[in-house]
Amino acid sequence: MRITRLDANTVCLSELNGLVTELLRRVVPSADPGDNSAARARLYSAPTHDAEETEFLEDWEAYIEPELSKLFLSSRELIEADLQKLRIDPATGEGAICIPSSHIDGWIHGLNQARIALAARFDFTEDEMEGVIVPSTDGRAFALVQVYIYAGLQQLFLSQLEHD
Amino acid sequence: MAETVIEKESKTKTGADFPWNVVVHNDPVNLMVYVTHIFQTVFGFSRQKAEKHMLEVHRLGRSIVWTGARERAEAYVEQLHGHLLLATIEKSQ
Repeated sequence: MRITRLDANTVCLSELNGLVTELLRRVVPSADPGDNSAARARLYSAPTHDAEETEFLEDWEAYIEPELSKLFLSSRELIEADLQKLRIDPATGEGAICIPSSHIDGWIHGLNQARIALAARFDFTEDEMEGVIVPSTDGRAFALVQVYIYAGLQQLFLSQLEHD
Repeated sequence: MAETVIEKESKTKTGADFPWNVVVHNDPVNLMVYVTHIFQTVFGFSRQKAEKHMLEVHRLGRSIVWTGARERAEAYVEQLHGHLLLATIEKSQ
């Protein structure tokens, strides 16, 4: 998995193996909290710990959370559209995708959404996140691999921003 | 302890004008490099200052990243939530 600048306006991810290409396709569904209460609670966390701030909390829920929801959706839609350009080399089985560099922020955001929603949905412990404990089921283990791979992708994209 | 940005206010410290802190809390999912990047983006911090606050969050569980008027503090918390950081507003001591 590597990232390169094709030109000033284009960034390419290449040498993507089968697992990574499959996980790329799962970014958007993983980032969407759907009806999962744990994922929703984490994506829409409280803006204050003061229980007496009822009016502020009500206003936040009524006016700010819908705006946050639109923002989160926009990142997922951007990634979904970019993924239409994912190509698999039939000879090697490796995937590659080129995206506009102006989409890097959207990818970083969408990957972060996916990591946070997955971690909340599966309620990963810190020991699991740090690799001290191996998850007890295949489903948990796979989700944890997703979180790790998405972190790697986030770091690749962040490294590109540093070069801008 | 990382340096905190304090906005100078000429208004009286009552009600909504009381100084408010924007606090960022630790979570085990957000990457340290990502948190640093967001602090630079939202607050315009230098890399060094952003890393100081990020490490304070990581080691102490929280960092006061900005102090000032209520309305602006709310706007910062909204921006931080937009980047999926755990952020809250609280009265400054």
